[in-house]
Amino acid sequence: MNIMKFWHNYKSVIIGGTMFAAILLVAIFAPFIATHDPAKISMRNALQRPSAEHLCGTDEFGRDVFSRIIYGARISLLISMSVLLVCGLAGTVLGLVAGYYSLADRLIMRVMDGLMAFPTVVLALVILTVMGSGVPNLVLALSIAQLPRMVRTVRTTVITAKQLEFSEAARAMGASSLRIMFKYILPLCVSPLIIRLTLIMALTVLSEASLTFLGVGLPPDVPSWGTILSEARQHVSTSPYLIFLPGLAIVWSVLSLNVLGDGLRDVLDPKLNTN
Amino acid sequence: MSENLLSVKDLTVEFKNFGETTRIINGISFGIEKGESVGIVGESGCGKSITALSIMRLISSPQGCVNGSIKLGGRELLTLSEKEMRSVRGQDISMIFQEPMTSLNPVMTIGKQLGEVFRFHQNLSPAQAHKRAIEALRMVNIALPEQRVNEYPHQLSGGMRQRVMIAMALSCRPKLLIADEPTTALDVTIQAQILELMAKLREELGTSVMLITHDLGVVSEVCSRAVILYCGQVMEEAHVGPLFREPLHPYTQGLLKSLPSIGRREKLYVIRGTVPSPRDFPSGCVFHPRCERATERCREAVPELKALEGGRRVRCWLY
Repeated sequence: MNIMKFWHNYKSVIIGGTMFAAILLVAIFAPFIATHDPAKISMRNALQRPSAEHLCGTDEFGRDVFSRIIYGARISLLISMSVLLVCGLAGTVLGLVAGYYSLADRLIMRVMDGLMAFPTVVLALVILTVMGSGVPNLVLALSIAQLPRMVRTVRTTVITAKQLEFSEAARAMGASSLRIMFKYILPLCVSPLIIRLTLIMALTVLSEASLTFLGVGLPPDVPSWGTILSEARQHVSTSPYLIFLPGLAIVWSVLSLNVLGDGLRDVLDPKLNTN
Repeated sequence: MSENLLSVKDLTVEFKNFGETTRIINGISFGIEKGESVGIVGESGCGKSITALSIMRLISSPQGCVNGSIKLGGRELLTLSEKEMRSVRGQDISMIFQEPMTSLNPVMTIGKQLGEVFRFHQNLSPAQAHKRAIEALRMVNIALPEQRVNEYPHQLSGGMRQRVMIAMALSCRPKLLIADEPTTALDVTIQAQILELMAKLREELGTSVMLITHDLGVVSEVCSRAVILYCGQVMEEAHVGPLFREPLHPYTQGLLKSLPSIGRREKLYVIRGTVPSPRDFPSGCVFHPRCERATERCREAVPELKALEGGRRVRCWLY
């Protein structure tokens, strides 16, 4: 009975969390799981079909695709976690300031509205084209592109919390604005933030793959799911199996994060918790 | 009359909205002596809470404009800088709010919130603040303070939360406690306990209390003096005894007559009409459209606040 109820309430979190934990484990233990060195080029083995030796075949340079995908998990997680950190920190601070001070609100939100007018990938594409490809630039571009959603999430919570009586009570006790912002209001933003961040992470994995596929995200020697997919595209008529595993990896991670985010929202948002 | 701890003089509060200025408080003056408890009484929307917020300087400045003079122990509060005012809040004046349900932060434990006050004003370490928080909870008669201090507000009942608020407000031994309808959200038995507790602590700590309420019963129980407000003006001010025995202003008389008394089954008295909007206050005496004894003179000229014997003041042409 209890287990059934627990499962009923937390199934999305459990399923999404387990799926995501699997990627995390793959990324951490990549050297043990991978069968070959992902960067090792051997032209003799170019474009081989899947076999016991090469589980997913080899690409046009004879690199083992399975190993590249395993190492790709590291790149994907590295980028999405960095985006999470940069975007999370900047978004929280900007959102707090915007929600708290009405003058700053007008300024910050107009800039955010401007950013929001562009689709995420297009905006990141423009930034990357200007700054050039590479991991740090990609992280920065994706962070800027995701920032407006983050700021909006925090700002909304702050505006609601600011009007509750405890903010005024804290002020009446002699608390300064900074203290009220960070000590009283910020903890209330945590649950919407967690939900927003899991969804941002899912979007980041997807955008990183799309940008790299389009050739602006990462240089081709970095084993990421996007680069593997983009190389596989050229041989899709002769070796269609090359696109399946990187595609599956992307689907798996985006799906796991979305399910996890959905589940967290059900658990953390008391307004939706009907049971 | 001894030295006033708080003296408010000609306080006016105006709000600007879309270029239109609305005067909410119109020249209020009153004083509170040391250790005294004064009730501020009036209907909803008469400016009670705004008076309290202007004493705390909690009215946001671009829209709200506070003029006049508010002196605490001889120090003018309206000209203090925001930083100086922060050290006054919580330390010299503190405030209890109406809603104990929303006045505590739901994601902080009771102890952390109580400890905050000590950390702002006395620079105590977290451990010391925690200890002082337990003492403060004991002061307001909360059972098992060592356990309660680690609980969250939702684990406490309404009465207990209001006790926590009182503990928080009194923990730095302020000179003045402003209680904005502290018992309105509580049921009657808890109300009595809270009022008793406030009276007890007032005596022990020598704090002056400014009690804002619309409940005349509460005023008669805990206050020594009362100020009756209507439309942002003082209508009558008197000691509680004379005020209840022999109310002078027709508004005060109306308020007293509309109190229910147990056993009397007749229809309750109602002051006819409603409080006018601050945007179009009537000419002359603000109360005249609702007054049963209004004359031509009330319609035309504003009566002065006339001082009578025994520290009594009334704003009516009848006296």
